Amino acid sequence: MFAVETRKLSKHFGNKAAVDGLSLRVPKGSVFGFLGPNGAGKTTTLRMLVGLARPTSGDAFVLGESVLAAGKRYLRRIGFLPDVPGFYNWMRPAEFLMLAGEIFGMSGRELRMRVGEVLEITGLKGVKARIGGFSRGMKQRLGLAQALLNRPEVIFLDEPTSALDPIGRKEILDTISQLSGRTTVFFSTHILNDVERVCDIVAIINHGRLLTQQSISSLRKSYSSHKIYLELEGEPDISAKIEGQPWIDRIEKSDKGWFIHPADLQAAQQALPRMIADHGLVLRRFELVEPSLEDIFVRLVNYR
Amino acid sequence: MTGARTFLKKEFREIGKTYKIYVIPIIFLVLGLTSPLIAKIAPDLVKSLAGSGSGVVIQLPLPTAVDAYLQLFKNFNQIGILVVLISSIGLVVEEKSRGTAVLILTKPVPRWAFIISKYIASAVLIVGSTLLSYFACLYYCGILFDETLFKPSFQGLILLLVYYLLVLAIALLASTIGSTSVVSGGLAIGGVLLLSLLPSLHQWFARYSPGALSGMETKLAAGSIVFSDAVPALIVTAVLAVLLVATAVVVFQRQEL
Repeated sequence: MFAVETRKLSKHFGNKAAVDGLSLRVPKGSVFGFLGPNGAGKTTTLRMLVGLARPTSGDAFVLGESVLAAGKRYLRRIGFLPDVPGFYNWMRPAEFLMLAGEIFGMSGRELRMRVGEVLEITGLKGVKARIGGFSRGMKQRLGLAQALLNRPEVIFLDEPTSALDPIGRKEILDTISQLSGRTTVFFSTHILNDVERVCDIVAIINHGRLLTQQSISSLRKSYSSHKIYLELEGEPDISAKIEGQPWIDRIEKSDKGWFIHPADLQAAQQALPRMIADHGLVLRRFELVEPSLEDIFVRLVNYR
Repeated sequence: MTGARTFLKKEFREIGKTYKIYVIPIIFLVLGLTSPLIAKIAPDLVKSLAGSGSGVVIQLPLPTAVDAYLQLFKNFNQIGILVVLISSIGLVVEEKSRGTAVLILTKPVPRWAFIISKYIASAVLIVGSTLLSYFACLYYCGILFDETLFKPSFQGLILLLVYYLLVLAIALLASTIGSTSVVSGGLAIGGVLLLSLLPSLHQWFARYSPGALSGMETKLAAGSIVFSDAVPALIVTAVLAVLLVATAVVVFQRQEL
């Protein structure tokens, strides 16, 4: 059984399909990156998964229970952080968490201890001010705290890092990494760096449709070729010599050296050093560059 | 049920922690305290304004406790209704627009409990404030007029309270339907205006519609009708209030947040 599964999930607003026949499978315990440009349908999908919106067609299952079912018992076992979490301004952080905990049926010492724990995890320990005066980043942290409170089996995070400064972002990503294995993390974002740092599996969507879903490593293998970075002593112009070789696709100048996009990687790896030696050039750097997720993302979103 | 109970508790705490706990009872208390006073001094006021130097002799009957209650119910039906509306317009729409409803409803709080809790907590506040106001008026009447007219005036108050519960139900439904506070406010005010206009349209409405209650309150206090005359309109009003709250629940169940 999957922690989250969608089957041809669709959501239309008038004529526009915000989510269009989306089928996803999220294994238990994974950190799942749900990636897409702004307006791709990420938030709409999440809203259907947590029961805020109804699918136009198709179905989705969270912990085996359909989101169309009346009782939504699975809400007890999940956590949700919306993109802009809203709180009662008159409350203090611990007060809101106590309210959330009581809703989950927690009470007494157990609840007080758990509230202390999640405040600690999210860096809000000792913050006694009313939520009304919080910055967006602080609200985001409190949002994460309330999503973690009930030790959820699946946690849904909608762009959790977009409002945060670099330090806050790192802390939240570290928290997410620590959940890996125990909790299934369903994490929507348009920040590729975050996905590369914490996710095991990614799904990329655009215009409400799934472009691909696979592990990050296999995505790299299948969607982008490696390139070679070459730097020579004295930085001579070698493009004329290399262009026209059978193993080359194209060559691209960078700051101090060259990016070589090979048509045949192995042939290029063999031929290039030999050429350099034959021409009496001195090698400073010769490096195989892994494709970045950004390259893949841009290619997928633009060319499909 | 834990979620439902917890949310109801939160609603009461919210009233206690925000302006509502001070402002609403105080406004009502002022209405209750000033109504007998105004009734007492009104004849002197009129004489001093109209009579000075003109030579006209104005004969006004001595004010009684009935005048105090007429004044009180007039205030309840104008300022009081406005206060009920203003304090309850935002009940649901604000939670939607601020995003707080999203955090609550993605936890095990059923949507019906969300709506019903809001209605119960607001109703307790409004009924409590009105009772406070009424008893203040009653106390002053005893002092100023040596009579309290407890039974007829309390019967009038029952009509008013049921009418308030209907106004609250209208505001709750408007707040559930509306996408912004402005839309909700417009809907609620429109609804209440419609209620108050109906009795003048047809004889049937004048007898059985909720809007008829405001006239009956004063007539009851003045002793010109008896309680049983008001019962049909009272029942219509109560049933309508229940129906509107139920509609709010159904609308909210289907709403996407």
